[in-house]
Amino acid sequence: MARGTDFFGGFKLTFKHLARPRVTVGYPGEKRPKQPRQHGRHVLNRFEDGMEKCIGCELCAGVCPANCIYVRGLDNPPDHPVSPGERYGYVYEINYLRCIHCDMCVEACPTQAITESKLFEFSFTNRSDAIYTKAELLVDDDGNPKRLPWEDWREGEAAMTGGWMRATSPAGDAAFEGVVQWSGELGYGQRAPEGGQSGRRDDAATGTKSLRRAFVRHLQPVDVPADLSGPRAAIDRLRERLASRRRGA
Amino acid sequence: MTETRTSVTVTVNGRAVEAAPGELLIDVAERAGTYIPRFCYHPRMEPVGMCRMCLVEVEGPRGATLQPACYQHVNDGMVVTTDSPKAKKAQEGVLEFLLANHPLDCPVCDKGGECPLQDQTLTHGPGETRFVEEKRHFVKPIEIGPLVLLDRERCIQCARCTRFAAEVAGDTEIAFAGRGDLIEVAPSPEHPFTSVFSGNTVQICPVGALTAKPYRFAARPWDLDQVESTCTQCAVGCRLAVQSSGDRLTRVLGVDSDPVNHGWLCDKGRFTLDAVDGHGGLSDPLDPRARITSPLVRRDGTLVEATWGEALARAAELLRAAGEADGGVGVIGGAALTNESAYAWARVAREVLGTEHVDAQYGDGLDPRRVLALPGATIDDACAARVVLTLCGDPREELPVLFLRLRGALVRPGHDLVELAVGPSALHPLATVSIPVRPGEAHRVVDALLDEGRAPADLALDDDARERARRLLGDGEGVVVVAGRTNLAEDPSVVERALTRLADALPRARFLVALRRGNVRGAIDAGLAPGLRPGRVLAAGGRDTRAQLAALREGVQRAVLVLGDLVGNVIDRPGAEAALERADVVVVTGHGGATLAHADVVLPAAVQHERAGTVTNLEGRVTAVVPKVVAPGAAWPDVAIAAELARALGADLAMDSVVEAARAYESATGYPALSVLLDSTSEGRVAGSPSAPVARRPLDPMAFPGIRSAEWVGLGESAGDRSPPPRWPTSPRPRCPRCPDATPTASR
Amino acid sequence: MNRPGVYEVEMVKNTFRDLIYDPAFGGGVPGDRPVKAFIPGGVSAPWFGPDQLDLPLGQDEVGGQGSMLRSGSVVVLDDTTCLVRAAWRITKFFSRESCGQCTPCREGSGWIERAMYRLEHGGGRVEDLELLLDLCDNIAPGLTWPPQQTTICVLGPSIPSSVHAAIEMFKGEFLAHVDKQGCPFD
Repeated sequence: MARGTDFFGGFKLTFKHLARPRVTVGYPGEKRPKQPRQHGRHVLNRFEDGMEKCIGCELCAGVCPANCIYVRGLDNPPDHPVSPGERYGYVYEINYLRCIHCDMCVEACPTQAITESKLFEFSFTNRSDAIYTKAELLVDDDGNPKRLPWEDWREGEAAMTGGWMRATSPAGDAAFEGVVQWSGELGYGQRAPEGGQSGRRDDAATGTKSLRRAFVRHLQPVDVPADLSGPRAAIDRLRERLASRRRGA
Repeated sequence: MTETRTSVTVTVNGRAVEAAPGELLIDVAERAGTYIPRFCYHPRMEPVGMCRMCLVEVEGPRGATLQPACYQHVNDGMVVTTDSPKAKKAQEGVLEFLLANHPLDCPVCDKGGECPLQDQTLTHGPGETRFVEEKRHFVKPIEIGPLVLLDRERCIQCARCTRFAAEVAGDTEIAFAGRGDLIEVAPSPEHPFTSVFSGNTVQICPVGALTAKPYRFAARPWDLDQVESTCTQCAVGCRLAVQSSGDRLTRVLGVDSDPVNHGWLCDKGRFTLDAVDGHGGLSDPLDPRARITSPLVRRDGTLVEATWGEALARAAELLRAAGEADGGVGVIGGAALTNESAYAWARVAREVLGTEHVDAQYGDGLDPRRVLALPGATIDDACAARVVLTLCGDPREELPVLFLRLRGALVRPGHDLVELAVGPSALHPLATVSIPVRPGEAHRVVDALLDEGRAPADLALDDDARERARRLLGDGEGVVVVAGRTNLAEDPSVVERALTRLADALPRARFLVALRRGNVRGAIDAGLAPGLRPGRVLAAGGRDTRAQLAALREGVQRAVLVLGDLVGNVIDRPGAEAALERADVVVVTGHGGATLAHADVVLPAAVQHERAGTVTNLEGRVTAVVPKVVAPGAAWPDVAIAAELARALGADLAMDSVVEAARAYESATGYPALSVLLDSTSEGRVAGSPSAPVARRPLDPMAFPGIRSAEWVGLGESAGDRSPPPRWPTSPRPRCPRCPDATPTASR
Repeated sequence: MNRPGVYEVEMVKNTFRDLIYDPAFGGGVPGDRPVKAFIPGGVSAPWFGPDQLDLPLGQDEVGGQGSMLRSGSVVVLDDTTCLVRAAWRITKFFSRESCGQCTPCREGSGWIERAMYRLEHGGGRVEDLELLLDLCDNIAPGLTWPPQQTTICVLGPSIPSSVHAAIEMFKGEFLAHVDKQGCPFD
C-alpha cells in the first residue's frame, strides 16, 4: 500500500538537488579555478639575472617514475656561462606522452629549476610536438612560460608554479613547515608559505581552498567537515555570498 | 724461538673470528660480516691509517683504545668493538671533520650518486652541519694531465691517488703539497700527470676530486647500465666493467680480478671508447677511426654501399675464383677477434676455402709453433718467481698492467730481475742485473750468458754481470722468462733462437710469452696461424703474413681475406700496398683504414663491446667478452659473417650463434669456451688447468666505487641472479718481510 | 715576567711560585698584577690556575694534577690577558703546525681555530662553547689526561688541551665575548 508514496519518494533526492546551485560550468569556454597545487605542464626557471637555474644534474631524470625526462649536462662556457657553477643542462627534454605529472622531478630538483605550472589542457597532433625541449620549457626573460599554439593558458595558470613544496618541505621535515625555502621564481614573485597540516595556514595568501570546502553542498552529510555543518555554517555561507555579491557590484 | 701460528682468534663485537696472523683487522672484520667504514684503505695498497674513519675500540693493556682497523694487524685474543658509543662517536666525528671543508656540489659532481663519501655520510654521518665558517676554496677544476681533472676543494686527503702513483705505478707525478688543512694534491711542476695509469687514480678516488676528462658530465651513475667484460687492447686481458647510458658507451672501470689485473687498467684500455662509435660518427672508410656501417662493394673503381646479399655473393665469387687457381687464397689478421670468431674464420679458411695460408699476426710476432710450445707460466707465476728474466720490449708500453703486476712483485724482497735490455724500459730501475742487448744479437747474448767460457768480444758484455745473472738463473728453478718480440726490424728468429736456448739450458724455467695484439693467443689457439690447426695441432706449413704478401706481389697467390686493417698494422707498408694492389681483397672489419683503398668487398663487423664471446690472454686464461651496445648500421658479428660467407660458398659451418660457435670450439679444441661464456663474471680459466672457473670476489664499493659489485651482470644463466655468490678463495695478505715471523704466503 | 729567561732549577724542590716570583728566577709579574692562569709545560699542556702555584716542579706532581711539565717552558697569563685570544693563538699555531696527514688533526685544528677566531673577533654564539668542546672530544676522546687520541701522533691531543682548559676555567670570559660580540679586553 505504500507503493504510491514510494514512487514520489524516489524523487526526493531529485527535488533536493533542484534547489541547489549549479556546479556545471561551460567548459572549455569557462574553466573552474585550479587548485594552487595543481600539477601541470613544467617550466624551467631562470634566476633574476637571466641565468638558467638548471645545472643539468639529471636528478629529475633519475627520479622520474615514467622515464619521460632526458637531460644531458655540459661544461659551462667560461666566457658566457648559461648557469651558475660548472655544469648546465645542455639537453632537457620531457616527453608528455609519458609524463604522469607526479611532481617528483620538482621535489628532486636541488636548484628549483623545474616547477609545474597549472596548465594541463594541451594536446598534440603529432608525437614530436609532445616532446618538449629546453626551447619550449624555459621561461622567457620576464619569467613567463612560452605559450605554444596548442596550449590553452588562462589567467593564473602560470603563477605560483612551485607552491605545493612549501607545504610539505624537503624530506617532509616538520621543522621547516611554513618556511619559504628558495629564491623567488622570476616573474612570479614570492609566495607565502603554506601551513601544512599543523593548522597554521593563510589560505587567502596562498590561494588554497580545500576542495571539500568548495563542494560542501554536494557532499554526503557524513563527509561534511564539522565546521561547515549546522546553522552557524549556514550563516557563514550567507555572509560569504553577500560579500562576494558586494564585490561583484 | 718464534712459534709460527697458522691462525689466530679475534673477537669482533663479541663473536670469535678465525684469522691468519698478520691479517689486517679491517679485512678480518669484513669477512666476519662487520663492515668498518673507511676511505684511505684500499685492499691492493699498503695501509696508511690517514683518514681515521675506521677507528674501532681495541682492548689493550691500558683499557680499550681507539685504533684504526686498517692499520692494525690481528693478534691472538684481540678483542675488538666496532659499534661501541665511543667508536661510533669517533667515526661520526671524523666524518664531520671530512665534510667541514668538502663542498656540497654533489649535483654537478661526476661522483655524485656513487660517492663513498655520500654513502658513508648517509650511513655513519651527522644529519646537519655545525660548520658555519667559509669552506676552503681553490680554483676548480684544474687540468693536471691530458686525461685527469683535479678539484682540490673536494679532496679529502686520503692519499689513495698519490699512494697509487708512488707505490703501484712508480710515478712521482702527483704528490701532496702544503700542510695543515691547506694540504693539497699537486701535480709535479715539471711534469704533467701523463702516467699511462692516470685513470686508476680517478677510479679509486673516494670523492669527486679526480675526474676523468672523457667522462666529465657524460652521464650520472644511476643511468649507467653495466656488464663485465675483458679488455682486448693488449694481451693481458684485464677484467673490466663496461658502462653505457642509453646505447652509448660512457665509461670503463677496472674490476678486481685476482689472477690478472687487481683492479687496475691502463689509460689505453680505459679511455678508448671513442673507437666504438667511430669518434662521433666519422664515415670516411679510409679513416682508421671511422666505423664501417654497411657492406661495400667496389664498382667501377669506387667502393659503394651494397646489401649483405650482394656483398657476400661478390666476396664468395672472388674467393671461389681465386681458390680454384693453384694456391690462390689466404687469410691475414684476426688477432682482434673473439676466440669463437677466430675459430669460425679458421674453419672457413681451412674447410671451405681449402687453404693453409692463415696468419693472425701481421709479421710482428713470433712463430707460435716454437714459442707457445715452451713450458708456460701465468702472470701469478711470474709474480711469485724467484727470478724474472725479461727479453721483450718495454712492458709498460706494450702490456701496461703486466708491468704493474711485475713491478708489484719485484719491489718486494726475494724477487730479482735479470733484464736483457733491448732498449729503455720502465722495469730497468728494478733490475738486479741488466745486460744490454743490441738488435739482432739476443741469441748470441743468451749463448754467452749461459756458457761458462769467455764471451765473444764484439758483444761487449760485462763479465761480472754475466756471472751474477748466471748465478741467479741457476738451473731455472723459480725462473720465469717474460718473452716477446724485442725489435720489429730484426728477424723474429733472433728471439726464437734465444728462447729455445734458454729452454734447453734452464730446463725448469717457465715462459710467459707476451705476443703483441689483443687476442692473438686466442686466434692462434683457434687456428689462425700457419701450420697450426685449431687447438694448436701441427699441420703442414702454410704461408705466414710476410710470405703471403710476397706471394701476392709475385702473383702466386691471387686473393686474400683480411680480418682487420692490414696496411695500417704491417711493418712493410709499401710492400703490403703493392701486394694488395694486385690481389682480390675481401676485408672484414669494423673500422676503416688504408686497407680499404685496395678492397674489392668490405664486410662490416661488430667490434669490442658489441659482440659476445671469449678471449684468451697471454697466459692462456680464457675470459668472456660481453656486448654492451648495439653494433651500428648493418654491422654483424664475425661469427655470423663467417657462417654466411661459408653458406655463400656452399658450405655450412653449423654456427648460427656465438653459443654454437663456442660449443663447437670447445669440443674441437678442448679449450674452455662455452662454460666461460655462460659465466661471464667469472675470473676465467686457464686452458689445461683443472680448476673450475672462479667467481670473482665481491668488490668493496669503497675500493672500487662505480662498479655495482653486488649484482651479477653478464650473459648466460647467472645474469640477474641475486643469489649469494659462491665462496671465493681467501688467501692471507702478503706479510711484511721485516716482521720476524714472516712466512712466505701466496700473493693475493 | 720581570725577568723572562731560561733557568736551571732543581726538580720537585721548587714550586711554580718560586719560579715565577723568586727574584733569582722570574722575578714576579710586571706591575705586580695577579696571575690569572699559567701553562706549566709548553703550549700543548693543559692550563693551571693560580691555586696550583704551589705545586712542586716535578713530572709526577704536575702529571697528577692533569697537565704536564715536559718542556718546562712556563707561560704566565696575567689579568690583562684575554684568555680567549691566548687559546686562539695557541690553536692557530697548532693548525699551522699540523702536517695534514690525518683527518681529525688537519680539519679539527682548522675548524677550532676558525671558531675561536670568531669568538675573539665577534660573531661568537653561545652554542659555540658546546661545539668547541665536542670538536675537542672528537680529537681527544673523553678529554681525559693523559689524553686518548683519534690521530696518528700526539700533536692531535695537543690541539684541544688549551681550548678545553680555557673553556673549563674561564667560561664566563667566553660568554662575555659572546655578549659583547667581540673581545672585552680591546
